[in-house]
Amino acid sequence: MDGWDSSTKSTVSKIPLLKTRAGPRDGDAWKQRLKEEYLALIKYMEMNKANDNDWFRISANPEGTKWKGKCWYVHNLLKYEFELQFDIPVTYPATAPELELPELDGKTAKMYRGGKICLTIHFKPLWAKNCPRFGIAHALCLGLGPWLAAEIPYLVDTGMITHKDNLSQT
Amino acid sequence: MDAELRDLQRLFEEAQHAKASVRLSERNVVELVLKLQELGLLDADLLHTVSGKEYMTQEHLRAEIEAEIKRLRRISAVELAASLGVDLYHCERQVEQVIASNSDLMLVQGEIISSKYWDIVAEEVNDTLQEAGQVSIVELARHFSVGAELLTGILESQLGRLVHGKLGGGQLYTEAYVAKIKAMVCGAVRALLVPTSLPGVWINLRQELRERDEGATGGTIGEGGLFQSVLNELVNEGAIKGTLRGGGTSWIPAVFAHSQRSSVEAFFSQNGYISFDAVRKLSIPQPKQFLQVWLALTIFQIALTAFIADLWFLMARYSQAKYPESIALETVFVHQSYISLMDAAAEEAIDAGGWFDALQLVPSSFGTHDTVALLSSCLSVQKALKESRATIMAETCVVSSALMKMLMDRFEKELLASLENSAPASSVTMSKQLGDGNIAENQSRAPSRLVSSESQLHDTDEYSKSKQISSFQVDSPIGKKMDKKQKADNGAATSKFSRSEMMGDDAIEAKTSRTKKKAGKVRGGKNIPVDDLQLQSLKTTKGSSGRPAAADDSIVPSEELMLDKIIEWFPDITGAGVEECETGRLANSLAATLRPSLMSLWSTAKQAKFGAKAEARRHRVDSLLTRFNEAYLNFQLFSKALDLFDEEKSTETVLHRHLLRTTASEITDLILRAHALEQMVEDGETSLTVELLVIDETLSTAQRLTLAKSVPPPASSKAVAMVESLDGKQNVQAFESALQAVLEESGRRFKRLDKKTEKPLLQSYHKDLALQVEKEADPVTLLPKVVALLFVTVHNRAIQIPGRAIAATVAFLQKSIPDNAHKTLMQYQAATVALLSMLQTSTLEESDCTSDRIREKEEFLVNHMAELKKIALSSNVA
Repeated sequence: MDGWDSSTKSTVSKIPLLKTRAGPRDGDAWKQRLKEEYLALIKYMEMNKANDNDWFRISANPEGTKWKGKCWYVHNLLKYEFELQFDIPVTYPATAPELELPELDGKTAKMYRGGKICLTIHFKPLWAKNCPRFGIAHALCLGLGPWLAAEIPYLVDTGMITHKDNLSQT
Repeated sequence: MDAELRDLQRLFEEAQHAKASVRLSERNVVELVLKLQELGLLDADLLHTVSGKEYMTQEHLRAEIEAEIKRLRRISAVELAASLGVDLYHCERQVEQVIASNSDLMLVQGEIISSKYWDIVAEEVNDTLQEAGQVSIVELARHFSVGAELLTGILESQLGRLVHGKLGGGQLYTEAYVAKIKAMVCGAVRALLVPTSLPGVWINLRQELRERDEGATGGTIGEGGLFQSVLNELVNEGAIKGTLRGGGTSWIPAVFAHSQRSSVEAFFSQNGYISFDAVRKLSIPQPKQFLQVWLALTIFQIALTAFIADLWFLMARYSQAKYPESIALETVFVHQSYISLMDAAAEEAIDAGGWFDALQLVPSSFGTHDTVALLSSCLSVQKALKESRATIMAETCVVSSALMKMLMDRFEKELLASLENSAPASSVTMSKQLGDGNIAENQSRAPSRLVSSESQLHDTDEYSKSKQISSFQVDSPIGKKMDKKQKADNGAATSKFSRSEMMGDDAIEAKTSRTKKKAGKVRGGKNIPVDDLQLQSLKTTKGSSGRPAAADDSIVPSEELMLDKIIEWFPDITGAGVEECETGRLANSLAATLRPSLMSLWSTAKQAKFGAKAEARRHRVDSLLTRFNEAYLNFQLFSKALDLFDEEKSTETVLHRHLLRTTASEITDLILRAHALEQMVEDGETSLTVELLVIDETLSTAQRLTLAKSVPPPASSKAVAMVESLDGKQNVQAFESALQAVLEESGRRFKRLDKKTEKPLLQSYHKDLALQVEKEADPVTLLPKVVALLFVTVHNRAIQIPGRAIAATVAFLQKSIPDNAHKTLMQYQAATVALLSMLQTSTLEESDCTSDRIREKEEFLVNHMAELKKIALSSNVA
């Protein structure tokens, strides 16, 4: 698990692992899988809240295939908030979901077209290795979290993004 | 859609909307608080816990403290600080405020204690007390870990309320327990009959208690106090009788005190005195004070003490009334009557011109100092002393001046008498005089004594002998020379000395023990005979041993001798005074007092006497010596003339013999006499020789021999030789050598004849002869003188011519004088010889013719006298 800072790694190890190998088209198995996803997410969210590290909000469609929400990052005492969305691929869990930050599309090099974030080279093998035990929570923790921490300060510094005046305190 | 899934969804939603716990770093918080304080939103006196993690307001702390106190009732500030996690300083400040605001609370040694706590303690104490009977406060204090004093204070306030018992001496007791102890103490103290140290009693009681209720009570420490207080209570109640002494540490039972006092009283009233030692033996620690206080108690004091001991009261009053004027001396407490007794005795003695020993008037337990003190408080003695009618001697004896004077007179008389007696004997001391008679007696008694000593010795003899020994031994070193004399003098007595020497020790022991025994009786006068005997023997010893003393210069009777004399005159003095030596000290001190004056008296008398005597003797010796000198010179002069007669042997012999018989004899006598006199000066010996010395006549050969023999040993043989050399056959040279030997021996130097002395001597002799010749009226005696004169004139030698040698001398002169003169001389000589022979024969009844012839011859001689004188004197002139 090289490539991540120690706090991330310790957090990830605390998120419950999943068991069911099922995609969105697998019917009940998917439901089962979705339940496990939720449990993991709840746990992760609780952990974040407890550590005063609350940084995202997501919700899914009833099938649990399309997820949307927000994520934010505090830099220099300023909260930068972004829209977050992603779909569950058909090949899930073998394929990791592609996390999108549409607001930042075209603003950074570490992003595919359509605002999909570009993960590190370490992510994919790790995911593959941990299939089907890793779920959405893991993907957020290992993918989006570090990406935000690395990119937002850079983007702010380069002036690509500026803070909106209407800061909302959660 | 699955309900479960929906639940999960909802749960997730909830989780997302739950409020996130805001985490601030400590640093941030601190900064925030500081900011708030800066802004005045928070009080400045915000506290924080010891850990530094919490902030806390003063009010909160106070509330917490109060809660804590309420919960625990007793808590120390330190504990409070620890349990609340607040600094002690703040805690204490708050505690102070809390206590100030709440009267139920108290701060004791850093502990906050509420009054409720004390109630609990009191209840607990009461429980323990009721269970054990007695509890020590110290123990309780230890148990509750509070100060004993504080606890005592608290318990005192609770006594009778929550605690039912009695507090005393750091102990809590129940009434029952106190009653028990009281009974015990009462029993124990009632059993005491002699003064006892109470702590010891307490220890015993405590031990008993401990044994009795082993384990029931933890400790019975500090019961001494209870015992003591109980005892005091008992005493005050009158349950037990006695007094406490020494700060309540010793108990003197009334019964003991009573018996003590009654015994003192009994003794005092019987004997009129009581010694402090005796009182001390009754374990009264300070007898003097006791007696003084006791016997001088005022009525008031007696009344005070009366309720303690009625008996004592009566007794004290009685004794006080009876002996108001008793006196405390150094070791004894004595009644006034002793003083009056002594007073009377002193008065009597002084008035009668006698003496008395105070020591014999008082009981034996009186010390010397006491007696002295008693004596000094006698009025009559004081008066007599002031008027110098009496003196105190030997500390306790009063001797009237009359007695002293009498003694002095007697001694003086004795002394002078002895001086008188000694005069004819030329050197005798008083002691000798004292002894003289006894020597004879001694000698006469000696044989019988020897016999008696062989058998069982009579004790007085033994005594006397031992006495002799002691004096003999003392004296012997003074003069070895004297030993011989003493032996010679005492004759048979010497054997006795050696004999008694052997048994001397025993005898002395016997003597001392006997004298001690006697001491008491002496005054009775029963053993005066014994004393007499003692005296005799003493005198004997003094007599024989006196002479060495006489050889010394101090011839005054020694103190011992005076002692004996005093005792002889006043036998009852023997035991007087304090006994330190065999005779009483009074006699000693009398002797000592009298002796110096006697000594001076004696020395003046003696000096006068002795001086005169010695002067006379010396003078005599001197004159003898000068006479000897002259004689010797003459002798030498005459002996020179003898040399001229070398050729005529017969004449020489005659002349020699004549010289020996005349001048040499004279010299010998002088020498011997001088020796004898000297010896007398030296050792005061008087004997028959004195008579010989006194009479100034030529001695006989026998006399000379005895004298020569009496010369001290080395010289005596020489002297004897000299005397023998006088006799006949020897010649002058022999005598001279013998004389020289004697002179050498005696260490004298006499003038030898030399030219210087010879000439004036010869001249004076010549003149003398010439004068004699001139004056001579007798024709017969004229002849030798004329011849001698002629001889001197002619030969310049002096000569002594015996009658027989005249003819020879005349013939000898023939050569040197004129013929006519010689002829006349011859004729005169022949006539003289004829006359003498006629005179010799005419002693018978003679016829007239012989007398006629004699007359004729005389006439012839007378006629020729002038002529002869002329011859002699003319030749003298020539």
